[in-house]
This record gives sequence, structure tokens and C-alpha cells, in this order.
Amino acid sequence: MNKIAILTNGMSFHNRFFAMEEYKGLYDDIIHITELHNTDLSIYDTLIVTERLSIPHLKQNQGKFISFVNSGKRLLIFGEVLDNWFPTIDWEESEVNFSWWVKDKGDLPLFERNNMHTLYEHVTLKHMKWHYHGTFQPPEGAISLVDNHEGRSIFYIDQVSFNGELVVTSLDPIFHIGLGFIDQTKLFLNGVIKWLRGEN
Amino acid sequence: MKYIGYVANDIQFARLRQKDRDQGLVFIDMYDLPNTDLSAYVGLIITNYVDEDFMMAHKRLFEDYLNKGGVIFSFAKMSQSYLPNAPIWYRSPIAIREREIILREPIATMFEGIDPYDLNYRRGVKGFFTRGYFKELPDGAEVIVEDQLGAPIIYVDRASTNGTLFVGSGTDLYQVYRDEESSANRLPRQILDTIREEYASRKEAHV
Repeated sequence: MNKIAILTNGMSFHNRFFAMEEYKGLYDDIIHITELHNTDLSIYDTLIVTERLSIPHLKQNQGKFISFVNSGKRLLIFGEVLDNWFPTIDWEESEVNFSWWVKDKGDLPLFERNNMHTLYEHVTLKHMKWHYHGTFQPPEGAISLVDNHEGRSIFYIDQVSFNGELVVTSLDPIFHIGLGFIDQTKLFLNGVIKWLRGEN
Repeated sequence: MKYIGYVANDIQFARLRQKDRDQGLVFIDMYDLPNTDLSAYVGLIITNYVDEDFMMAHKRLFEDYLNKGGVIFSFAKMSQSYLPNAPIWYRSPIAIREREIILREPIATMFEGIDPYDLNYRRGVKGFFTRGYFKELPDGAEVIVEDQLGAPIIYVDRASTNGTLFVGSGTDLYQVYRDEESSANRLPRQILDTIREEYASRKEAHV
């Protein structure tokens, strides 16, 4: 049993996303970021940090996130990691290339890495290609699943820094699904759901 | 300087730069609203990055601010209505690639000198301005911008309160167009000018 909690910030795109039946398989419980400090996370195996959450609230809960992943659980982080709200994540903001697909032979240079990883049983590189807002330098021993043209990661998995698993991606599918545009985000998130739920 | 508060969650996409502060914008973390003296601001911009539960719990703040002659320009795609008589946002049924923003005469001052093409397209990509619309507007509201089917994209309501509420259903017009290399880069500044002019005219009317 993999019991999954997901964080919300009560933003309109969150509210619309959580109203959608087709994504209810992603999570079992929704926790508001303003209530996280009062929430017992020990009943959960996975905690999903959605993109674009209040940075001050994320920082206030830093110890809670670290304790969670150190207790052998999986912490999945989407989006930006500003102000070192999670201390071991090396984040750099990128200029966003949102127009590559309208150019003749345009491409967003992203590269599969470690494609034997089980996520790739459910997700293709194309599912992860819309745009990204930043990149990471994974710590030594962590594995990147997708690198950009500069060799920095937009999706990595760290099983070395903590007792559990830290999954980090700058992709922002929930924002786009909640607002209803960019269809690859749906393919990507559906694959993530299957991966998290251990489906074949 | 007549200051305008920029109300948002503190996230990457809402942070202001020196260029913004130089124009009199002040970042207000939305969670600080109950402790903020809004009389310091001639206007507030409300972004899409706000906790609606919190906004609902403090909706009186906005009503009171407007009733004192304040001006609010909301870019929030509300799924709950915390602004006076403001409708919730709906995704347009028209595909993004086909939807057009239509500027009709008389052109609102915030859109003066702007080619509609530059609003519809950013680097060849459509959809920043035209994701949503409102189904029903409050009594007395005036449509400023609509799509090709006449669905409102921006409206202004001077009737519901003693202040002025502009509501947009596109993106954050201040943030998105401020670095454009096209006529659309006039829009952020002209929005701030519109807010300040509106505040002055409302104050004059209530003297």
C-alpha cells in the first residue's frame, strides 16, 4: 500500500485540478500548506509537493520535509526550489523557452538519462517536453532522468542523501492541467501516477 | 509616488524586480493582508497566485478597500468569488489557437498604441491573454476587451462599490508583457497609469 498525500496552496488552479476525477489516482489525501505544520505525515508513504507553493510556508516546514524523507519515505517535488527551501537541492532559474514548437524544425533540447529507470516504463521524453522554468545539479550518487543541453537536470532521483527517496523535477504539470492548457502535461502526469502506484 | 500593491503568494513568478519597484509597485504577501494598511495604496493588483481559501476568509478587506474609493485590478482566475459581485472564471470553449482578443473603439487608455496582434501572440505563441472568460457580469459592468464571440475578457465594475474593480480573465498582464519586444510592452505601464487615474477620478467624484 502506497498512501500518498499532496500539498495544495488553495490557488485556483489547485482547486480546479483537485476537482478533476481523472487525476484522483495521484493522491489519497490533500493537505493545505498552511496546515502542514499540524499534520501527522507518518501515515503516508509519499508526499507530493506541488509547484508554485508559498515559499515562506515551505521554509517553515523544512524540518518536516527532511524528517519525512529521512524516515524512509518518498518525497516528490514539482517546480521551483527558491531560497533553498529544501537545503540539498541545487536550483537555478532558466529563461523559459515556450515558443520552440512554433519554429520550423524547432526543438527543446532535452535528453533522456538512465532510461532503464522504471519511470520510463510509463513516461516518454516527449511527454516531458513543454518548457521548464529551472534546472538542478543533482548531488553525487543521485541519478538524472532528463538533462538539458547544459547537462543540468530537470528531473532527478536522489536515493543517497536521505534514508528515503527524493524525487525532484522542475516540470509544472498540475499548474497547466488546472488551467487547462498544454496537453503533454496530462500524458506526463498520467505516467507519473502509474509509476507512483506501481502499475504495469 | 502613488503606490500600488501587488498581491500574491511569495513564489518565483510573483516576485518584483527593481524596474517594477521603480514604477511604484510594492509586493504584498497575501498572507500579510490582514496586517497591511491598504490606505497606503491607490490600487491593488491581485494575481492568479493567491490562496483562495484565505482570500475568501478575508473578503471583507477587499470590499472595504473598494468602498473607500480604492481600485483593484484582478488577474485571478477565481474558482471562488472573494471580490464584490465578481464572477468565477471559465476556460474558454474556443481553442487557444483560434481565440482572438478584440479591441473595439473607443480603445481603453490602457491599450492605446498597442497592436492587438502583439497581445494575441508572444513569439508566435497564442493563449496568454485568451485562456478564459466570464459567463455573467455584474449589473452596471462595462466590457473593456472581448473575444471574437463577444465573451468578456476584461471588464470594469464601478457600480458595485464606491471604488473601481477591473477584472481580467487572461494572464497577469503586468508580468507577462513587461519584457516584450513589441508594442505590448506598453501595457504594464499603462495599466498602472489607468489604476492611478481611476483612483484620482474616484476621489474627485467623492469630494
